[in-house]
Amino acid sequence: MLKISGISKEYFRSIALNNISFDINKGGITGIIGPNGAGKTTLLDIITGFQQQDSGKVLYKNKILKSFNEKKRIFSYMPENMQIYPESYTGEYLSFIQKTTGCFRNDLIEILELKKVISKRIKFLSKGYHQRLKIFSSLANRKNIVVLDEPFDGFDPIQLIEILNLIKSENKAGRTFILSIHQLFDAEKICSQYILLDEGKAVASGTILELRSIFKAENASLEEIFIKALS
Amino acid sequence: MKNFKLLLYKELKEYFGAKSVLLFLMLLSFFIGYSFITAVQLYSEQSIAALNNPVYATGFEPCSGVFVPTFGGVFLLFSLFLPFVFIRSVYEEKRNNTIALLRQMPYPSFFIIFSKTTASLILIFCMCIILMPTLLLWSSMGGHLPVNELLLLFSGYALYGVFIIAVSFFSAAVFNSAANASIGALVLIIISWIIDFGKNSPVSHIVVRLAKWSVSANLKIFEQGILSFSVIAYLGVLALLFILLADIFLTSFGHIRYIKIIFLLVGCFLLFYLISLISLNKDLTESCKNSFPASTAAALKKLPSFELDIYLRRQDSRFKDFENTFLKKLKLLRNDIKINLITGQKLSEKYGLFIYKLNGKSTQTYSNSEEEILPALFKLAALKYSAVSDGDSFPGYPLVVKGTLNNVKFVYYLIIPLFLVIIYLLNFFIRKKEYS
Repeated sequence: MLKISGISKEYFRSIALNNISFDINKGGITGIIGPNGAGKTTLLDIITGFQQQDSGKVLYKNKILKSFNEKKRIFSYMPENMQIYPESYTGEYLSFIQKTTGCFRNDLIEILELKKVISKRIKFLSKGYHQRLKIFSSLANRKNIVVLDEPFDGFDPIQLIEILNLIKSENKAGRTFILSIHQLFDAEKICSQYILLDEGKAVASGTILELRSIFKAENASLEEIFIKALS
Repeated sequence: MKNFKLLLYKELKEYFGAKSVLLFLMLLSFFIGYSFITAVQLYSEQSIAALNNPVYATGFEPCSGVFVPTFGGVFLLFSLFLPFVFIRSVYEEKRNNTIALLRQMPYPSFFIIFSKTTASLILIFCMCIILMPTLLLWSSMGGHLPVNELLLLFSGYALYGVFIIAVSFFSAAVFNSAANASIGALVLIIISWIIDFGKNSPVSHIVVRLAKWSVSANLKIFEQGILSFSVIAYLGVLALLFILLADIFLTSFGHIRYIKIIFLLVGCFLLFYLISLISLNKDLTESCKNSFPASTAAALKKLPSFELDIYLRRQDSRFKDFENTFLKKLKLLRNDIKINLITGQKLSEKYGLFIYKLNGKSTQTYSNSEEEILPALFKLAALKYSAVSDGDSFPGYPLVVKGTLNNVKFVYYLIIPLFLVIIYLLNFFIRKKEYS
């Protein structure tokens, strides 16, 4: 469904992404895995149209996506470094998102337990609730592909299970997810496919079984495969 | 349009919920109050001598005597403080990366900057409302209100406010830190002042030419009571240029950004050129101080185009007199007159002369007074001229105000600040209640 072909990006002669190519199937949950500085955020920015690649293509259903407007109809992107309006009330923000997108997802508000903090100013919310608001923003629309940059930051283990279940249920409902994750243990719980990035290069890609086969590491965890891939 | 309204509502809530806006409006109230009191007191003191002297009284115009100095305080606040209010609006979206969220919403990207601009315009309108009580107070003191001139003055400052909005947004969109954005906006605003000051010093001919395009120089045209369509169009296009540049910097990148910038600049410079060709001006002052009497104006319009060589330095008080009287009126009436300010060796040889050249003939005079120039000019064109007064002459409105202007102090130092605090608190509690 989504094809990333030969994406490269340089910043002042420093290579951020080097000829990255992979395919993403409809209805999957793809994890972009890599250490800090591997190029995960740059790659997501390019896929969603927030940065321009130096070369390469992003294809959706075999059609090249060139403009930001084309991409914004398909992708819902939650950047990692977004701080939602600190002076606004949670309820005010939720209402703004729902009215603007025309997608009233009260079920999401329930699942994300945002009702509890509806009368609080966003600046007074904990990191976990702030992260829930960000996840709400990226799910409260009708876009096919949801791209989340480090979505599990700030959650305690119980909250994390709820969020993982939410993503799984949205995925079952037909949405495709691309997640950038650096916690490999969390990634293993949810992703159906992985792209391993290191220093701007795609070291390997595939399902956990395929990765085990590539690195000849039977029964190895994602973490063990990742360490092997980097070494 | 539904989404535009939602965005606009969000921006307005942010403005009216911001402490910086409350502080700015309170400061504006104090500034207006102080400037108005000072202006009225000066006007009143000078009016004493004019009460029994009809000729002296003609020099007393409430707009230039009271309201232009009152707006002086507004000018300072607009120039030096207002950018900080508007920069915040764009810069915070960038810093918090909520611009990424807004850009993904189902509306055109330009809605973001235009909703911010509209909300900022509403804020400027609120600032104009704070100025309104000066009109009521002046009227209650028995002062005359020249409606057309005042409307023009308000429009001029509203346009200046739009320019400040545009420059602030541009600066916030270009720079990646709030400090740099603030410095950038202030530099753009202050450059306009410097160029305007620079035209009176022998810096360079380029500065003199640029001064015509400086925003502060164009604002003075409104203060003089001249309705100039080219000035309105110029300020409008200039503000639009900066707003569109801000939009480009916020929503485009890479080579597409540069292509858009080039197209925009070419389009705007073409518009500026077309605007420079417009010569549609109207003197809105009740005293008609910027224009010749109707009969003289009609006669001057019939004159063939002529050339004027001025052998004076720009800083010479005689030139400034000439520029502010005859030349100003002439430029308002005719834009085809070629004026040469002579420099170099030739200047010292004939210093002080004005040489008028028409149809191959010329006449020269040392006088900079209208009464002597006009007969000489018409004689050169072999046309009849008789100095005719237009009848109803401007009586002037001197006003001696007794008392200590406590009512002004009460309104501007107490009532308006208190009202602003109440509005702020109301907004705060309504929002809190709405979502609790």
